[in-house]
Amino acid sequence: MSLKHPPYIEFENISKKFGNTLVLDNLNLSIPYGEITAIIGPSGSGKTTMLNLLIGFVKPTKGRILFQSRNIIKDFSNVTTLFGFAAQEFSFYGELTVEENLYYFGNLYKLKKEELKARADELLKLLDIDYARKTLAKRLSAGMGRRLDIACSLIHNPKVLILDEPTQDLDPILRKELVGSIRKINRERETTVIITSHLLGEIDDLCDNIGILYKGKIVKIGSPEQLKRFYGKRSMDDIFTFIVQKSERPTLHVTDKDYKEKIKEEEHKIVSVFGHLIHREK
Amino acid sequence: MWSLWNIIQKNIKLITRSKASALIILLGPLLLILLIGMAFSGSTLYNINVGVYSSSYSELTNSIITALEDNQFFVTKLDSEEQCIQDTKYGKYHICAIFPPDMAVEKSTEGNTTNVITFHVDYSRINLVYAILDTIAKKVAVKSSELSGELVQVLLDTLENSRINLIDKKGSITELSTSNKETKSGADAILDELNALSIDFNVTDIQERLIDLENSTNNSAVLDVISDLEEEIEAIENEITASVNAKNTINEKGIAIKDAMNNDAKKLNALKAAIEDNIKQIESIKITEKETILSPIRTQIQPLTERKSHWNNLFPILVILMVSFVSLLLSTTLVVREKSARAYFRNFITPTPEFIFLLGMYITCLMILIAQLFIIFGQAFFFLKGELLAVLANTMLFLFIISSVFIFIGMFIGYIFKSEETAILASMSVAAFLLFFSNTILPIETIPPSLKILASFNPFVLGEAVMKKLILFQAPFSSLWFEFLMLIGYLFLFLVLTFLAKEITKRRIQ
Repeated sequence: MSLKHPPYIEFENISKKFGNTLVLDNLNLSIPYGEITAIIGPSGSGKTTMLNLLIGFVKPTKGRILFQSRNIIKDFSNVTTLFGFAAQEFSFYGELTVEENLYYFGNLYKLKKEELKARADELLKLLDIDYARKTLAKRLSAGMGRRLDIACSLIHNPKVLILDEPTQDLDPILRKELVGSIRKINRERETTVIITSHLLGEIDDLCDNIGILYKGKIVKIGSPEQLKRFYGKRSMDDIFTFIVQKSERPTLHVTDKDYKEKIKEEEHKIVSVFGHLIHREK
Repeated sequence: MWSLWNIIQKNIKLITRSKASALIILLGPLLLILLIGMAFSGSTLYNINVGVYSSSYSELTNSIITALEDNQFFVTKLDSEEQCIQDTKYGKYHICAIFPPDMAVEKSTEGNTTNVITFHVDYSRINLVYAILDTIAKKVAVKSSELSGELVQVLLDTLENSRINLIDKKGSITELSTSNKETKSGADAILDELNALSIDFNVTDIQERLIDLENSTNNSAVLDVISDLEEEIEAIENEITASVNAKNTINEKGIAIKDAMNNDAKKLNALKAAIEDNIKQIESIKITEKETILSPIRTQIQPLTERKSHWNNLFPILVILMVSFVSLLLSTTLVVREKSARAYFRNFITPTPEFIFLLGMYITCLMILIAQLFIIFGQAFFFLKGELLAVLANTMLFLFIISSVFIFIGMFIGYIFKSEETAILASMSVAAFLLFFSNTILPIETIPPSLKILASFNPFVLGEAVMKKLILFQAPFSSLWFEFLMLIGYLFLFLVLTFLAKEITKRRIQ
């Protein structure tokens, strides 16, 4: 299994320790430009840490992160504007209106007044919250709050949008709407999206690539179809359950070779099962 | 710069849009200062309850109680000394006064404790007790002075009457002396005349002539006459001898009288001199006003300033009190609220330097404080008028520094504590600690010297001292450099500590 586009962001041998706890263990990952890449994994697998490393909020214990071949750990101040980040919890001020939140964060990115206004208007329309621009953020519904959060993350027009569990706490309808919005952002603005989620159904529909993070390592990465074929499962939920239960040894990108070997393996199993059945009938 | 203004705008919006916060943060201190201003606009104590007891109320006791009863004091006579003391302990009365039975001025000489009024006071209310004691002591002293005045007046009147009598009697003595002199002169004249009186007749010659005549004649008749004459002459001689004796006796007695008169004259002179001396001594008493005799040394307490109410004197302390509490609590509250805001995290991932957020928070607190100080100083102009204008520039500079110190202390507390509750508690504790080790509750002179040295570096104490010097005494900037330098030192120390604490909170978020 290979990526459709060349690597845009690369994690190289990244390890992160918090005290004695090793959260990320020699992690390697490539994220292509203009695609939606999901990182999935059980709770505590290090998804949020990985994203925090990417936005420079925490520093790795070991390894480097390259953005278009530039080491962003050393050059963080210059690349910070390239990333937009929406955390698991809403990151805006409830006592400010929707518009004021956008202007506030836009100003922190040192945007000019006219540019900021145009950007805010565009995002409010894009995320369909324009009608609530004068509403205090604390009065927004969960879905609208999530959209505002994403709008705040996009106000400085980042090249990469990082979303940490964006569909968490949303009902199915709101989740669907939000997934639509993320897709729209990706398509219309050519924004590379990195997303983490537990809700694998939406991930399956939305993402171009899915990386499976388990025990601080990327176990597998590929398109949903590639992963399903490789694991011989019908859904991402099944793959996720399978990986967690089996606790597979880490390998990098699922290649066609891996895939063929897996099929051969499965064929052998089927042959032996059929052989066993024939033998019993006899 | 625009980012900074953006952060300040956001902070102010967050405060003003939360009604409860706005009420507590903005109006709370103003309401507090207004109430304090109204409460301390006078300079007297009000509604002081005094419990009194005496086993037997005399006229004097009642007169003192009457003197106490005015609009300041409510006096209640109690049934026993124990009740009086107990009720004072329980706070029913501010002071308990025990009067001796049948207190009277006349009894004051009977013993040291006869006319002693005993006051039982609750020293736990240390700030009140001295004020009450002072007021009551003044009232009792007025009554005591009245009584002393009366006694002194009696003494003065008696002395004056004696002086008048002595002057009067001095005249009589003079008269007596003159009379004595005249009598003595008369006696001298009598003695002189007596001495001049010659009664020393020599009859021998007559007798010899009569003998010659007797011898020369035989005439019996002549002889009889001669014999008669001789008898007569003998009788005369006897008379003369008696007269001479009498003259001598008179002379001796006259001399004795003269001597006695001389003695009398000397005594009269001595008496006169003594009276004159007494009069002189009485007249030499220069102080004859009873007020001067009652209190020959008078104390006069002259205020260093001409303020009339507590408010004027309390104003510098009130300002520091408000600045310290508002700065500490406001900055702690804002920092904790910002820290706990879900958007706090997003601030860190923007290209705006963290120092700008710190500065934004500081300026927000300072702006709110300035708004409050503006209102308070508006009130103060009503009381202090032109005096405040003269020192306004220095006062503002100082308030800027002291506010900054307290804001950074508050921000530091806000950053190092995790929850809002503990941070506010810590902030309150620090404010209370600073307040307790200052002159506001107890004079720092009452604490041990080692602690006193530490307390003298308390920013609250420094602030209080500078504000007093500036507002009450219009002190020049040159006399305040030590306090200013100390406060600037604190300012930089807490600025650095706050920045470090902010870094720590960032790690906690991670």
